[in-house]
Amino acid sequence: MTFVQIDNLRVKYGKLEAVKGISFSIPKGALFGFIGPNGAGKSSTIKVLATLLKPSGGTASIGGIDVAKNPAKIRRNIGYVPDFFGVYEDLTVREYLHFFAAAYRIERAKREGLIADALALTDLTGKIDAPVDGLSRGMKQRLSLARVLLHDPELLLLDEPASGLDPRARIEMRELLKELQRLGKTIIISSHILHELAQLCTRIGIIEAGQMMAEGPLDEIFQRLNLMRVVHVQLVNATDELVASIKALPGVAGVEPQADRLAIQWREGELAVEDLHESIHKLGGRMRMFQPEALDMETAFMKLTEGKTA
Amino acid sequence: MLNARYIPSLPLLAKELLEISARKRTYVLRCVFATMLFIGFAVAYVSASSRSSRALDMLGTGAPIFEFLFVALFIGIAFFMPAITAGTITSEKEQGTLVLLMLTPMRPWELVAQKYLSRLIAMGGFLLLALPLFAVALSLGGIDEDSMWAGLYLLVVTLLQVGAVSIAVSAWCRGSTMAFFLSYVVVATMYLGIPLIGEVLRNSSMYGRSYGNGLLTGTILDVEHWQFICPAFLFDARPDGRVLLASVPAWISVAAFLLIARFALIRRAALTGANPLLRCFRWLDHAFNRIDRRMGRKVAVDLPAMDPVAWREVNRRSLANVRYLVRIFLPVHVCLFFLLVGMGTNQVGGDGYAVLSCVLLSLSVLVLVVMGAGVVATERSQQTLEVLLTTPMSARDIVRQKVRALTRMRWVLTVLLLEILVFRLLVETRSRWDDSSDVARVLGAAEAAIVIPPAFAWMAAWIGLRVRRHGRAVIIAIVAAVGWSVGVGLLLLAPLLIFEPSDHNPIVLFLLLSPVAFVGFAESGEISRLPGGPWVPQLLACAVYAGVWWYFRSRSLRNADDLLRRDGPT
Repeated sequence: MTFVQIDNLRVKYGKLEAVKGISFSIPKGALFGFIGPNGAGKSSTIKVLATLLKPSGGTASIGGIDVAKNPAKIRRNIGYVPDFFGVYEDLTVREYLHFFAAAYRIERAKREGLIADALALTDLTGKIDAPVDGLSRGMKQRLSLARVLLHDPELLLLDEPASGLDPRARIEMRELLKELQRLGKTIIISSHILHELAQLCTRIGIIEAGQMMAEGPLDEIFQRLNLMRVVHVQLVNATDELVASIKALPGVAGVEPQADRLAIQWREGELAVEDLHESIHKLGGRMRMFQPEALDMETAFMKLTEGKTA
Repeated sequence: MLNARYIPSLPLLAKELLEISARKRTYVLRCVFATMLFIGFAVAYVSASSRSSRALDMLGTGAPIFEFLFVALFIGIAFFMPAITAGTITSEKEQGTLVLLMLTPMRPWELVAQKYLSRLIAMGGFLLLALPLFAVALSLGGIDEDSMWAGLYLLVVTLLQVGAVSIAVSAWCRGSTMAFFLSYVVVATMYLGIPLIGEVLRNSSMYGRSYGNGLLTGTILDVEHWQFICPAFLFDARPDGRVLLASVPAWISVAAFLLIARFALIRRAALTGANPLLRCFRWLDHAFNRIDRRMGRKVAVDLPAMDPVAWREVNRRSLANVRYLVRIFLPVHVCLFFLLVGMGTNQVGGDGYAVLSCVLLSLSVLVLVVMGAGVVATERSQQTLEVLLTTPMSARDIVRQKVRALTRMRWVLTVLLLEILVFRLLVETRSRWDDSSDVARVLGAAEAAIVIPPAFAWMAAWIGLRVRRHGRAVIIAIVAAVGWSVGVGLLLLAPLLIFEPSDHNPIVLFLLLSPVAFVGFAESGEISRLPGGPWVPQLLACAVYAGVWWYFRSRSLRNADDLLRRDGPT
């Protein structure tokens, strides 16, 4: 079921057209990764959905409600985390969350419980009375997520949530997003960290110079681009004959011997990964490791984009 | 040609001058300054020429025009120099670039000197606009060479002094808003407050009730020396050539403020958190809460109920919380009370009260203008506005809640102004309270205290809604406030002096459009002599200022959605 629908969306800043008629749809419960270089139009599209920008043309709707026509209704149903933290440094965590609970008109009696739940989910319970300006970047980002969870929105709009975070904070953020997806939230996330999006997203959209270059589930995009995949195989008996036999398998494009393994490139459309495993086994290969590499989003990104900006 | 190695490398100065020249507001400020100066000059010239029927009679009338130019430029420096200087170091702090500058081989002195010099050059450019006017005044004759050089010298000292104050405050403060406000407060204290206190003390027993036979007369603490901090007061010292010597305290103050700037630049480079007073009050709150807990009393948790933006504005961002207002204004009330009692017992008279009222009203307007301009601009500069705009609160509601602290502060300041008025009433009732003009005068002053501050506050809030950057919003709001107060008065005064209508001509009532003129008429009681006086001018002024108040308020609230989402596409 389509939850977010964007049709021929255009956003202009004076003479500059930042978004040039993009269209896509996102089903309910999906985690949609929005990828593109700086100035591609990602933030402008997310701001339209967050009711911060009025589109110059086209339509955007969330849950069947037009964003431009009913911004007040939309705001009750979305949670927006900007690419900067946007937190009030003069408040404590408790005060900050109460502030937004009041802004979302949540009943006073329910606030404490909701805040406790949001803090537990974002692992900030111990920081409830800490001043916001004393939190680390990762904690501030998690606090921003706790803020958008207070009113239980169906759609989360996260603009570069992992930028500037250290590896640990990024991993924590990723786990948190997975948890939110399990809770049934539809999430739109823009990011530059491609391999993280590959691990996380159910669908992606690649945007450049205000135009959508590709959109859909990651597997589909790879098939469409006819990109090769890589599997790392450790063989106990990696003889030259065996390597040559693997190379000759239909669908296999190449075998690169590495220090302790073979990197086998193959076309997923021609040979399923389980069939490749079975074929190597049939050839007499005794496998210690068989590890398909995650889809190479960087390759897809580079193939689809040319580094242009709007 | 100079060898390049003999030219000192001043990269920061070059960058500052380039930035100043690239800013639109430099030219806007210069135009506003020039307009006010030239109109003022025209008024002074017409006033001087009206006394002479023939062209030759004008000869020798240059002195009053020169004195006008001196005073106008002095006021211009006092108003414009803080506006262009106060944000110079705070803006670097806000953008996080000061620390980067300090990592370069430039020493702190060089940073302060180059920043200071850039603003002196910019303001010097403003002052050059007066050169042709000085030439006209000189060509009319009546000015001796000593006066001319003394005047120019004192203007330079004023420029250096106000610049030094502003740069020191800029190095001291964390944010531009506080720096702007504090610069004006320090300048006002130096140029108005100290002479006023000196005037009160002059009549006190320490100096002898009739000045000249008291305990401190003739000593270093003699009030005679007090005014030397303000170069403008030294103009009278010119005939016997004491200007250089008399200006030594002013030079010492310049050096002292530059020293403060040098040391504050490093020690206060990376300030975080709320302003010190707010921090101090919060610390007190925590201490009281701890005591309450130990004594088994229940401690009330201060959290937002239904108006979160107003709650934060009142309780966390400003000092508009009732508890904090009491802590601040109780000592202020006590000081004011003693000052008023001192003025009453020393028979300073109505003029003293009027001056005090005007100073306090000016400061109140300044506080409200700076606060008003920052109401939304700070939210923009801290990048929290977007988050706020995605909540279900309407933009109108956000603006309405944002100005809540401003309204509280306005009422507190109005109460202070009314307190002076009540005192004046009590003192004057003892001596004279004979006709209805006294009632009108008191009502006029009360009206000025009640309607002028909100008009300025909402005007500044509206400017803050329209202008994206905080520093720029504050400067534009200050320039608009000065332009309205002084510029409008000058614009209206010029045709009145040229066409010389009779005192009963209703056209004179247009002067009430200038807040300065209105306050002057109200405080001096001259409002009774205006056409239809005293009640028609009162009602007219009330309607005008209430109208301005309503206009900016309704514009700000009605267009809040458009004003807050200004980055919307076209």
